[in-house]
Parts: sequence; C-alpha cells; structure tokens
Amino acid sequence: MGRYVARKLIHMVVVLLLVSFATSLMLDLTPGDPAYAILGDQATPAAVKSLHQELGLDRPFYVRYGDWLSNLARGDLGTSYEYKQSVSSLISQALPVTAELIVLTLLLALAIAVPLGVYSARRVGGIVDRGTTFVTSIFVSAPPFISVPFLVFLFVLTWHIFPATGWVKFGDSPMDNLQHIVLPVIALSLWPVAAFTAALRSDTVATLQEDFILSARAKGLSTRSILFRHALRPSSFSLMTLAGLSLGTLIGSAVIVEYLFALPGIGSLIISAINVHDIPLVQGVVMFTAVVYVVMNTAVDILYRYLDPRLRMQKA
Amino acid sequence: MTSTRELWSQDIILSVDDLSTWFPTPFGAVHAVDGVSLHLASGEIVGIVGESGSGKSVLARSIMKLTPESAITRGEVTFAGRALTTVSPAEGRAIWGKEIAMIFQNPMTSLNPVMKIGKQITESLKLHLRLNTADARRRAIELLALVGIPEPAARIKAYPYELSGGMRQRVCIAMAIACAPRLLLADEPTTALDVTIQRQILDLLADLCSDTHMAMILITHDLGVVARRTDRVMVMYGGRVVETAPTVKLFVRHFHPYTAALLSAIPRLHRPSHTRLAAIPGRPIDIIDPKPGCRFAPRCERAQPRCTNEDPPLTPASDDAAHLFACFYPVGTSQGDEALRANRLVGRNAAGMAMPVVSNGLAEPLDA
Ligand SMILES: Nc1ncnc2c1ncn2[C@@H]1O[C@H](COP(=O)(O)OP(=O)(O)O)[C@@H](O)[C@H]1O
Ligand code: SF4
Ligand SMILES: [Mg+2]
Repeated sequence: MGRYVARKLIHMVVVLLLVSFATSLMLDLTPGDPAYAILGDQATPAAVKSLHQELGLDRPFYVRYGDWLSNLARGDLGTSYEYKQSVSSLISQALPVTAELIVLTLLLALAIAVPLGVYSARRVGGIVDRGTTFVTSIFVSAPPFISVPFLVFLFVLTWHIFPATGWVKFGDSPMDNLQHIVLPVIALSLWPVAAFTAALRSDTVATLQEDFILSARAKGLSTRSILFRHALRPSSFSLMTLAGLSLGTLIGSAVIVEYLFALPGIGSLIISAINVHDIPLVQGVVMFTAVVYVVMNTAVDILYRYLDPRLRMQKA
Repeated sequence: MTSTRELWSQDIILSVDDLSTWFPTPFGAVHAVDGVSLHLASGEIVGIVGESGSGKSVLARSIMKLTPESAITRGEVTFAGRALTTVSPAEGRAIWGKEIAMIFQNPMTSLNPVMKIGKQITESLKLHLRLNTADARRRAIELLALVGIPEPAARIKAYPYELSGGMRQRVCIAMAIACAPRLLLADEPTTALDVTIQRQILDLLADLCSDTHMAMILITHDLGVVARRTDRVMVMYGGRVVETAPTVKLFVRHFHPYTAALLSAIPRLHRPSHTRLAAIPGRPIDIIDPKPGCRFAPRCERAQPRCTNEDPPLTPASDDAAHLFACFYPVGTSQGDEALRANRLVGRNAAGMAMPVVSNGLAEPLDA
C-alpha cells in the first residue's frame, strides 16, 4: 500500500507540473497585455514599460515560470493584478460557492440516477426503462447555455418561484442561499443525471443476470432489497468512476452556469481573470482546479477498494 | 432414510402435476419441461437425474418460480396445500427461503461477492424469523458450525472470495437451511466441486434431511450420486420423465434404454464424471416445437417407427406400481430385445441413427 501511494503521488505531481506549464505557456502566447488591462487603453508606453518591470513581465517566459513554481512551492500563488489581493484568498472566497454548487449537483444527480438506473435495469425495454431513456436523452442534449434560459423562463419569469441571479451566503440566510442555488444545481445536474443513469443501468442489467441474484430471489427477498442491497453495490463501479471523473466536466460546466446566474464562484472568478489577463489569478485557479481533479481521481481509486473487497487483496 | 412404503402413508408436501415450461425463442418454443409430475412426502429425498440440457434446472426453477419472465409455465405446483402457481408475490416471499429453499450448482457465483457471508445468512433469518441482529448473528455462527465450517465466529466476517469452492457451497447450504425449510431443492450442488468434497457435501445434505425431516430434491447428472442417498429416482430426458422408481429398485432393474445408458456412465474412481454421456452417441438437442414421438429416439438403439410418431406414456411396470417408465420397447422385455435385434441386423434405427451391423443381431447389448 505504501508503494502504491508513493507511485500515485509522483504521478500526481507530474500531471500537475504539466498542467501548470501548459497554462503558463498558453497565457504567454495569448495576444493582449495585462498592462493595458490594468492601466487602461490610453496608457503611455513608458507607464506600460515600468509596469512590466514592476510585474516582472519583461523577463523571459522560463524565468517567470520558474519563479512562479518556486513561489508555489512556498505556498504562494501570487497576487492578482486586478483585485490586488492574494490569489489564494480570492480562491478561498469563491470556493464555497462552487463547492456547494457541485456537491449539491452530485447529490441530486445520484439521488435521481440511482433509483432510475436500477429500476430501468429491472425490466429492460419496460415502461420505466423507455421513459427514462427518453427523458435522459433530452437531458444530455441540453447543455447549460440551452437549459439555463429555458429554466429561467419557466421558474423565474413564468412561475416566479426562484430568483434569476445573485448570491446570498449560506451563513447569512440559509433559505435565501438555497433559493439562489436551486436553478443552477438543476441546470448543472441534467447531464450527470443522464450519464449516471445510463452507466448504472447497464451495469445493473449485467448484475441481475448473475447467479447470486437468483440465490437472493430464492431467499424470498423483496424486489427492492434484491435491487438495492444485492445488485446496487456490485453494479456501481462505472457509476463511481463516472461520478469521480465528471468532476472535471462539472467544474467546466459550472463556469458557464455560474456566469449565467452571476454566482461568485471559481467559474466567475476565472472568466473575469481571463478577460483582464490577470495571469497569476488564471494560473492559480487552473492549478487549484487541477489539484482537485487529480485528488478526486485518486479518491475514486481508493473507493473501488471499498466497493469490491476482492481488490483489497490485489497488489496495486 | 425412511423406507418408501412408510412414505406413501405420509402427507405429501409437494405435488407437481403435469408441469410444462417453455421458452419462446425466434426459432420456436423450447419445451424445456414437458408434462412432469412429481410427488414428495416430507422427509423424502428424490433424485432427479439426466444429462445436461434435460430440463432439470428449469423444472426446479419452475417450482421456485425463478424462471425468466419470458418463460411460460403450465400445470400445478402445490406445496403443503397451497397452490404455488397462483400465489401472490408477497405470499410467495413468505414461502421461498423459509419453507422451500434452493442450492445452486456453482458455489463460486451464487454468493454475492461484495457481501460478507454472515450478512448473507442473517438476512433471511431477519426477514423470515424476525430475529434481531445479535440473535441472527449467533444463529448464523451455529449454522456455519453445523455445515462444518471451521472457526465459524471468525468466518462470518469473510467475503466469499476468501473461501474455497467447497467452503462456499457449505455457506450456500447454511444459507438455504437457515430457516429450517421443509423442502430443499439442490440443483447439482456438487457438480462444480472435486470428488472428495462432493462426497462430504452430499453426506452433509443427507444428514440434514434425516436430522430435520426435511424433504429434498437432489438434482444431478450422475446416477452414482443418488445411489445411496435418495429414496426415489426420477430420470429425465428432453424435458420428460422417462423412468421413476424407488432407488433400490432402479439399481436392480430398469426399463428405459436411457436409464441403462446413465447407469453404464456412472463415474468410477478412475473415470471422472462428465456431463455428457460417453456410452451413447449424440447429445441432447434443444427441444424446439417438438412433434409427437419419443425424445430419445434419435439416440436409441431400439427405436422403431412407432417411437418416432407416438409419445410413449409413463406407465407402471406390470408387476410394480411404484416403478414407472415411458418406453415402447423396454430393456429386459421380449419386444424390447426383438426391436434391438432387428435394428442391429440392418445397422440403423427407425430415426436414422447408424449403428454397428451385427449379423445375428445378438451382440452383447450395450444397454443391458
Ligand atoms: N432462458 C432460457 N431460454 C431458452 N431456453 C432455455 C432457457 N433456460 C433453459 N433453456 C433450455 O431448456 C433446456 C433445459 O435446460 P436445463 O433445465 O438448464 O437443463 P439441465 O439443468 O438438465 O442441464 C435446455 O435445452 C436449455 O437450452
Ligand atoms: S425404444 Fe422407442 S420409446 Fe423406448 S426409448 Fe427407444 S425410442 Fe423411446
Ligand atoms: Mg442444470
């Protein structure tokens, strides 16, 4: 197990280095100058030059990247050009919003997908199965930029149930906080509901063919306990993988959803940072997201060992 | 084991009357079980024997209502006075696992791989006997000890993959007998196990029956398995019962050529058990949209024209009402010997099967 963890850690570090290097390089190659974003379009060449010196932008790319890395190693993500605050404090302000959005999305998606997937598998081609396939096929074909206007039209403009945009901290008013997060969560969960249901359905169909399901039926167990106590866990490998990996996709979609609903999360943060060429902020947010992503992948791997006790025996 | 004479007077616990199960397929209906009747007294052990594909598992699963939804079942199954064919799912759940339990062929796949074996045993105890967690756990340990699992208290925390095949089958038995069922259906419980383990498991099942007065249907493809452990044997071929008799009588005298072939195929120590008969050519085919006629005719050395267009009825021997067989030209009868001799002279049977030509027709009969 020790060697397994060590190998995983080295792997993680390599991936993160590659991601940070690619981000920095891309930022360097994108046209546009952060100095103009900071000083305004009318800035004099002299002012731009002195700002470049101040920010260290006059030095070659590899020096700046090396600098950034050594600061990172000391836990310093630098200071945002735009907000004049440390990047880490900006991330920690935005993080709770995105975390709430994504955690609630995953929970909602699982809460819907687990019964749907399992009951669809119970009778392949039955009414539940076909209905589910129909509805979820609509879900997959509705990315946030289509579903959000639709949801806003129904829930905000027509029924006046939820506010359109804005944010209230959970600590300030839990009810208002939830009011503001419901629509973003629904918009963000359409795709995972569809994907999770499909994954769980196909694994459960296979599990229900197994002999041990016959033994469970021969014991006189109810359909519900056969499905949820015997079939669900051995059928949830694809689902777990997908839920773990979907985090990356979800963070991507969250950027759009946060932007459309004006939620002050990581997504909104990175969009504003890109708009003004706030290099340290973009680098910091991308790095942070990559860490979350890589850590989640490892967590999924460990969860496997819980789900299938046979794997615990195997040498990793 | 109780003697058969005694059993006739006892109450019948399971009655299967004219049970048929078929599977609609794109190529026609597969008649897996075709008009089988079976009566079982409590404490009685009946062996069902036949090659693989003869419909034994489908019969057991039809009794347990475990057939796929596509299957069509006709006929009556009555257990302790209740018609199982018409019970509601809720009533059925109070019977399966509690009064009728089943053991499957492959212990490697019939336990849930991600559930501790203790939990797999206690779940029926909690469901049917309403035991609390502590009592169920205690009972599960007793059951594991009863089926001969060493260190049962530690073993209840084991996962199936940590046990050998024989141990897993013991766990399956413990699971099946947990609620002291009155009837156990054992579908080839030892086929997947090696010979020494086979004997241990079969002896364990026989002991459980005599200790608890549990009735058992023991399904096997090996007549040798049923020899000393059953009260009665039912030989199946092509979904039908071809011969049935008290076990002791069947080993002394048999009428059906298929029974004869099975007897000559009983594995000896030096000859491992096979699921297909070496003694007779051919293999059972899926019985798709069958026409009248003996199912065994394509492989039978005695088959005459009559066999290919008329169903031989299951009838008692002239001198023994308890010994039934379904054959027009039985082994050990003059018309049977004559049919065999006639086919040997021409070197083929009425169904077109080629066989060695014997000039006087009197070679050592294969099936006697
Ligand atoms: N689900 C099914 N669909 C179609 N045919 C089936 C199905 N299950 C069993 N059969 C057929 O029924 C016949 C009897 O099978 P089975 O009862 O398993 O034989 P046995 O247990 O004696 O080896 C076989 O011909 C088999 O192909
Ligand atoms: S003799 Fe005829 S009826 Fe008897 S087993 Fe052979 S084919 Fe069937
Ligand atoms: Mg079978």
